[in-house]
Amino acid sequence: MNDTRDDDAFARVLDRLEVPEPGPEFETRMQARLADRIREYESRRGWRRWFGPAPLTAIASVAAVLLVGFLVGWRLGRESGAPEVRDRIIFVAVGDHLERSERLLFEIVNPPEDAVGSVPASRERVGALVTENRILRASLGDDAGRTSLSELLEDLETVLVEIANGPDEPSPADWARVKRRIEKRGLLLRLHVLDDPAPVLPKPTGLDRT
Amino acid sequence: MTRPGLSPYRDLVAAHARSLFRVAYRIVGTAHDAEDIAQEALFRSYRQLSSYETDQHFAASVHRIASNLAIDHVRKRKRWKTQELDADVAPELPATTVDPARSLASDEIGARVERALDLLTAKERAAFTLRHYEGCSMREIADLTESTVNTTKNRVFRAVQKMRGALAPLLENAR
Repeated sequence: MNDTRDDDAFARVLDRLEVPEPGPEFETRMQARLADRIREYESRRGWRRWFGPAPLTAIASVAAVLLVGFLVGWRLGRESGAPEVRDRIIFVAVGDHLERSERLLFEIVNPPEDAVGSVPASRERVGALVTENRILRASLGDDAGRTSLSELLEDLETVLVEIANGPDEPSPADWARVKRRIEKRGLLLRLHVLDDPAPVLPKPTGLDRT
Repeated sequence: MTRPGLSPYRDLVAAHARSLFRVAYRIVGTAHDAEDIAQEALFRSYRQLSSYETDQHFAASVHRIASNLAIDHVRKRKRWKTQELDADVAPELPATTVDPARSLASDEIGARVERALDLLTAKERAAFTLRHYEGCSMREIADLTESTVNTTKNRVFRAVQKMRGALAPLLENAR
């Protein structure tokens, strides 16, 4: 009997320790604080991801376009001697690549206010652009000669590789350095001008044969 | 990327944030720290989100993370307090006598319970508060604190003994 009374008294005393009510906005406040941390976490994870392989889908799509270009060019070339069809297909891939590269560099040079100093792109995205850039340069090869397009692809690759090989957690100084390099080479303007590379393409070799 | 059996992360936060705060508060005893711990537990669970199959799996894991964070917090605080006590010439110790007039005040009793809880080790405190305040079974506490059931029973037993001893003056009045 005494034990039970003791237990009750003990429980009553313990129950005086109340948990304060965290307030009606608690969940909202928690969501907001977590959102900030998750954004930062995802940004940092993006940097780390850049060191790994680029997504196969992105690379595969460029490779597929190039393959189609070569096959169509080869077939039409045999039938009508018009390899410019192949070149046109390649240039569509180049235009798409330049447009996506321009978007990435624009985000780095002009980050949104709430993302200053954070990473604007995932590793997959930059890795894919580096790989595409290499495939396109190899595909254009000597055909491109020393055109503004081939020079642009070279300069672009230098910057993309620098971003991809950046530190895991880039400091504002790291970002400033990348930004300076983009601006020094005038990459954004050149990318903007060459979004449609057709006007600066080297003359398709097939035309010489006609 | 979440699994089909798992609710969106935002919903999981809404469902568990308050419960995590309560558990953390029982162990650490301050609202500010409890909120930080709840947030940290939810954030860590986000990083492991792809490993959770169901909401129940997520709930068990995030509560375990919160309990362990709270236990670590209490341990650090005890170390810090010990250093502080070593440095202070005349530290303020918990009162051992009861002022009958004030003992009726709930906040005063609460404060005394809080001081009594401070006498427990971090794991004893976690086991005791989860048992008494959250109504967890010994098995649940063992899972949350990553211990065996027997160890948990011993911790709860020792904690009850210590608490009874520390609160004896109040228990006289409460009978």
